[in-house]
Order: sequence, then structure tokens, then C-alpha cells
Amino acid sequence: MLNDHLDDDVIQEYVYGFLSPLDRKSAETHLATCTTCSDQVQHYKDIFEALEEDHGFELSKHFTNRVLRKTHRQAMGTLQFGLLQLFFIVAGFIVTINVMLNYMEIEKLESTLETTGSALTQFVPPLVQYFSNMISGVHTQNLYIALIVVAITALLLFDRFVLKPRFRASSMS
Amino acid sequence: MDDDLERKQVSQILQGDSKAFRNFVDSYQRLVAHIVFRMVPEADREDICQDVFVKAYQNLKSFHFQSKLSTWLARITYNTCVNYLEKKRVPLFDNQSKENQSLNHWPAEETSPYHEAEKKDTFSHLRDEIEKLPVIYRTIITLYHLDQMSYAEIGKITALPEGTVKSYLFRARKMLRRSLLTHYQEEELC
Repeated sequence: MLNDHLDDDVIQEYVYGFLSPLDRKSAETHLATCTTCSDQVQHYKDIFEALEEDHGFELSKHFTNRVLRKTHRQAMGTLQFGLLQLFFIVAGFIVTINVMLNYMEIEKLESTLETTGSALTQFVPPLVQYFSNMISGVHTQNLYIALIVVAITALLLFDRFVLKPRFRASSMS
Repeated sequence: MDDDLERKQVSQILQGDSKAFRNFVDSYQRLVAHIVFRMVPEADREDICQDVFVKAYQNLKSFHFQSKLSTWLARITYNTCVNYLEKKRVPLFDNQSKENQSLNHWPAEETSPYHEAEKKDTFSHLRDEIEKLPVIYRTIITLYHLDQMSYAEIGKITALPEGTVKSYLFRARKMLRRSLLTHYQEEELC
């Protein structure tokens, strides 16, 4: 045993204190007389100490603020994208209705819808009639342009006076 | 951090509490920095650390406490770094041939006159040598020695079996010891 040096893994476990009491005792007996293995123990002690040195991992002083700003920006971006989508849906709906009213006869529209099913035709004609009544006397194109302008203005005001101040306040906190 | 506190913190973040998220970033930035700094080059480290926390924020809903929060975050960090390294075409297991050589051909271990005064130099040398290890070894020794993670936790983070984690850990330290011996011999020659 004295001439057979300790296995490298055994030395690592010895330094880390992972050997069983029996193996530890046997290792200590060997180390008392073997300078090669004792040196190795010392090397591993240095290595373990160096590995546990928590040095050189410093992030910048404003790291946390940057992360918070980034996550808020993303959250706001998602919300704004959602609002933009909503705007396009509403605008698309308004444009479609107005184009249909402008270029199709109401009767033709009704007959087209009748073919899609009786339930639908029962629901849609009153709706079409409602829109038709609502816009009677108003120039169709002017109406939908006005509605889009109102929607854009509302979104811009909401973004300027509600979203941005909230974003600024939360990224400062 | 115990399980109840983790649950409370996660639920507060999910409710939009920015203070809770700030605490989360403050508590775990060291762990994230340990992994990122050991895995990627200097220029991109801070950006990657930021990306890790943004990803964690976006995916927190999908965290169901199957592991510790730190393990989950370390896994996100590890995967983010692996993706970065793949883009840069940096292998996780570089220096393998060199490693085999170094493990099989030890320099003669005659003497290593050791003094406390040399310790600083030895540590600085070891720091440089750690940087030269293959990426996966650097990551494992960092998680084990700096973040006191178990083989099982490191296995979950790196998707490696526990036995492989242990074997890589021993091999990494063996490589460091070999470089330390070379360093001592060079010093003797000077």
C-alpha cells in the first residue's frame, strides 16, 4: 500500500471530505509516509480553494434596472401590438361594412347571406338594416374615414397619456 | 430560499409586482453571472445575462415548482449560453484531445516548493487555466464549487446523467492539477 499511490479520485474525495471514515483513515495512514500523495493533496486544496473563489463575476451597477426596463418595454410592446391588432380588426370591419353597403345592393347581400343558412339570414338582415339606418343621410366614405381617424386618435391619446406614463413610473420603481 | 418564499415570490411577479421581480433579479444575478461568465466570451456576457432574466420573466407562468427556482433559472441560463455558443460555432467539448493527453501524461512530480506568498500567483494561474477548460467542464465546476449544487441538480441543468457530471467534475479538476504541476515546474526553472 505504501508504494502504491492513492488514486487521483480518492485524493479528490479525501480533500472534499467525501471518504468514508474507514477509507479516510487508510488514506491518512498512507499520506503520513508518502510525500508525492501529500503534495497532491496540497494541490487539490489549492484547486478547490481557487474554484470556490467568487471573484470576477461582477455585473454592471445598473444591471437590475436594465433588466426591469427591458421586461417592461417588452410587456408594453405586447400590449401595444395587441391594441394595434384590435385597431386593424375594428378598422377592417368598418371598411368591409362600408364597402359592402357602397358597392352591393342590400337585397343582393341578403340573398347571398340567405344561402349561408337560415339562422344566419335571420340574424344578419336586421343587423344590416340597423347599420343602413344608422348611416342614412351620411356620406359613407366620409363616415368610415371619420371612424378610423377617431380610432387612431383614441389609440394615440391612450398611448401618450396612459401607457407611457405608466411605463415610466414602473421602470423607475 | 425555501419553497414557500419561492412560491410567494413567483406569484407576486406573475401578478405584476415589479418590486418582487427586482428582488428576484437581485437574488439570482450572481448565479446567472457565474454560468454566463464561465461559458461565453467577455463582450456579450451582460447582454446574455439580461436575456436570461427576460426569458425567465416571460416563462415564469410555465414554472410549476418541479425543481428549485435556482435550478430552473440555471437551466434557462445554460440553454441560452449553449444556443449562443452554437451560433458562434464554439463546441462545448473542445480541447478533448488535449484533455486526453493531459490526463495520461503527467509531468514528473518531483518537488513543488510551496509557500503562502506564491498562493496569489497560483490562484491567478488557476483562474486562467479554468478559462482554458472545455465549456462543459467550466460550467460543471462552477455550479458545483461556486453555487454548491448537487450532481443531480447539475444533471438537470445540463441534461447529463449524474454519473457523467461526476466524471466530468473529477476530470476537470485533474486537468487543473496537471496545469498546476506544469506551472510549478516552470517556476522552478526560472
